[in-house]
Amino acid sequence: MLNTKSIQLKIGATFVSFLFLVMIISLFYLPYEVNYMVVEDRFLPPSLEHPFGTDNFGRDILSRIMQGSQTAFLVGFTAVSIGGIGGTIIGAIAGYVGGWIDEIFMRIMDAMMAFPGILLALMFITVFGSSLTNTTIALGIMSIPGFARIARSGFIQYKQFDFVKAANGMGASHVSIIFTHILPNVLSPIIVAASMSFAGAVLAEAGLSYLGLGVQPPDPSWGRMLNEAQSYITKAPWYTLAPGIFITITVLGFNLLGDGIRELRDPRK
Amino acid sequence: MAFLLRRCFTFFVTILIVMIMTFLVFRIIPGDPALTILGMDAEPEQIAALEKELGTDRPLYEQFLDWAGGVFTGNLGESLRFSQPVSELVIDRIPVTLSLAIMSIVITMFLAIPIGIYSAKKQGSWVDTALSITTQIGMAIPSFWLGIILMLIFGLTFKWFSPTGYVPWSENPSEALNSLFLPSLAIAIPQIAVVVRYLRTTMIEQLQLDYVRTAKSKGLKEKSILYIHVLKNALIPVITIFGMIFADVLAGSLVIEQVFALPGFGRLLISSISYRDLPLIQGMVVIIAFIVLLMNFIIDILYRWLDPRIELK
Amino acid sequence: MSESVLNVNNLEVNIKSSKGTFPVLENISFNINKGEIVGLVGESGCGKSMTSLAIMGLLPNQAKWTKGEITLSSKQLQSLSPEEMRKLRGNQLAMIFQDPMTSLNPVLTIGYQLIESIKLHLQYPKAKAKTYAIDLLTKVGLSRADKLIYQYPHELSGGMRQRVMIAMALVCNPTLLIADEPTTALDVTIQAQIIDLLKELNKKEGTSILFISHDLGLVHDLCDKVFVMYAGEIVEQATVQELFDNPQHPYTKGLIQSLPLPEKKKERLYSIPGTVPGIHDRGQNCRFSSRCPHVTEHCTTHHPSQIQISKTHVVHCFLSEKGGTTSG
Repeated sequence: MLNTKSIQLKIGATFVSFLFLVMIISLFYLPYEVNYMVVEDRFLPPSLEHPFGTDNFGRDILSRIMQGSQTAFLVGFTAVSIGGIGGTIIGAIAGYVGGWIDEIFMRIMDAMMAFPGILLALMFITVFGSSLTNTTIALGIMSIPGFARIARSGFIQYKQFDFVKAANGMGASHVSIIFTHILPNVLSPIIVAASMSFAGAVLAEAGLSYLGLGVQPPDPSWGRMLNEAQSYITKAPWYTLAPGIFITITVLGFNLLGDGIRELRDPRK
Repeated sequence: MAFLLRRCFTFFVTILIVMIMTFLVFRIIPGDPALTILGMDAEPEQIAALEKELGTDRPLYEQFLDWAGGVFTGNLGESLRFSQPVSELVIDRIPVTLSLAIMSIVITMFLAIPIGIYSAKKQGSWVDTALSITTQIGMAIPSFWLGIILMLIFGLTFKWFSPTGYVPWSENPSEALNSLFLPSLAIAIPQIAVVVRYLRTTMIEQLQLDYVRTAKSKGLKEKSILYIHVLKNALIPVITIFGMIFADVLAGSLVIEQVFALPGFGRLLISSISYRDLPLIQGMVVIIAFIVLLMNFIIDILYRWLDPRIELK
Repeated sequence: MSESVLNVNNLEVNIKSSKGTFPVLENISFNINKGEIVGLVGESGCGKSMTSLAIMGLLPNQAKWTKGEITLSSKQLQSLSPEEMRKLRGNQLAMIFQDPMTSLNPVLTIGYQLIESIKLHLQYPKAKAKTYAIDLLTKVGLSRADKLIYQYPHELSGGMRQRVMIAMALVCNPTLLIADEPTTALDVTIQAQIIDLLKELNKKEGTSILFISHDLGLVHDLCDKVFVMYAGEIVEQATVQELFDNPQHPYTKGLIQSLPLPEKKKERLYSIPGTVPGIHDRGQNCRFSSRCPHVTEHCTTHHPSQIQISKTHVVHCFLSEKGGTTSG
């Protein structure tokens, strides 16, 4: 496996750029209106006019996939922002302050991690109801513990460094030490985690939407498309392909990007 | 002993926090649970009656102690939708989900360990590269999509396995196995990818250590070096990720049960969400979290017990 | 003369790097007789360990044996298959390593690691192998051997682990034991104990030992013959007596001078300036010329050939050619 480092990064970046491009194009141009139904065009197999075929309402699957990329990016980006900012602040305080504050914060993070996968999000959705906003917030909260752990270990490591002690001695405030002295040093593992969490959020959103608990109609979502596709699996087996492939390359792209950045930053591994 | 005591202590503290969190999410945040259940336009009398039934008219700490005490004695309250004790409903569904989880883990171990060893042995070859690409894809594929595809190919097209539904073990063990195989495989595949990658990395790290050179200088056969000396060292850290894998398998079964219409934990939980059956959901969430914490607890102790370098006593 | 146990003749090993293929060992020739303890001395990076790995047939993947012969008790090692070579290891040919802390498998018991070797090479049944393992551990000076076999490496001290390593090497009573810096990682008192144990083994069992070290002091205490290596070549060989009484090569002199001896307590310890040239910068010159205090222009352009000082003393240095100029 020679040079997987650069290859991982390149493939990851290519997939992510491709999806980003699809998302940008979908903002300005779609082959068909996403909810335009043509009853006589139901379950058309892939053709030049409809490269991915049509669904049970005769809607163009390609257009819905393209529109769905907006949902994926919106959910991924917002969830990672919530998780990244929240988790980093919690981890920074826990690691920097230490002592019983650290103990309490980390126990709470451990407790959150006891709710596997989408369970935490399911709890949130039960209470607040299912919608795009609630799903996104739930997925953001779900990713907080991961970021908190990474930030915490970075802060524990760096607070013992001489330059931090020096800054402390010179009377720099704790807030300034946290943000200007330590944070830049622990940013790269956080960026790696952000890329991986993006992948995780897209996967979780797809799962929730498949269960009918995530993005609600008429917003198109790859996960919900798979749910519809399953109902008509014998009639239109191609319907299941496009959404599944798009979820996979999104997750793969962000995972590889994260791996690539990590290996770039840490040449030992 | 110090470790065991400390680990037991954190185990119980974490369970307590999990319970408080679950309790608070379901009681405080939505404002009024009775309102949440009945909807905004409910009559005041209806609300008062339900509040009495749920006990939400009493002080919060009292409600918590009541509920927590119930959790420890197996009394999780009564389902609003089925008017049946939550514990009964849960016990009914456990065999399906547990079978699914166990089968997934067995499949994961049986496939991932040999593939991981092989990949490490062939490090740098095209087989290794191909496996590395496959595992990356395996980790990215959503398991429910994989389930749909497996069902389409092996259930509907070739008809080797039953596409949906469940036959209890007590009725027909081979039918039960048949009905659970595809969903277990769908849950297992991403986990196989994770274990293969992890095992490969640890094996390669171990192969560079001095003790391997010693083993070679003793004239040991390649096989004994790989399968006894290196594998034993490499599997000990792999055990630690099985806690995470167990949690993922459980989470995976929540969705996969929906794909294959299996009457397990997940299906009950998901269907209860649209009914807003709060006592049932709350009970199930706590049970799942408890199982995950218990597994992590067991694995932590197992790890220390298997690694002779760490003193358990 | 007594019979030869190991004969290395004109050994050359190349190593492949991103910059091309370079020799790490060139013209390595030496002989070890039965019952002899032979020292192989030099700084780190001079090719001592590579020589021992070549003899063991355990060269790393990037390294390739390109020339020369190694003969172990009349067996030509280069003509053996990997499987035949494997059977030789741990049998007639045994080795102990520098760091006993990492050289044993941390998750297998001492007994397991010893018994697996006994079962493999001697085909003893389990009970007999266990008794033999306990005997071996007792022989290398470990007490309570019957308990020790159930213990893990981390429960033992460094000196004890090195004794276990020696016990493992002795399973088949090897004709040649290679000891690669076996005491470097140990305390001074433990060091002396391990040296004594090696001496005792040599005397009692007649095991020939190739003792690899950077410490001339230890070599002086233990060995009969010494080979001094520098940058992948042997630059001087002699009996211990000759080497310390009449060192010829400036490098040998430097090594002797840098020994901390009691009579020069007050002086600053001497150290040879500079470092061993890397494998990429070795040309057709005397490889020590860049660090030699007596360097002449001839040294920087020509490679010195072998000069016989006595029947047992050989040096590769232009200074010795003219005789007498080396007294400085």
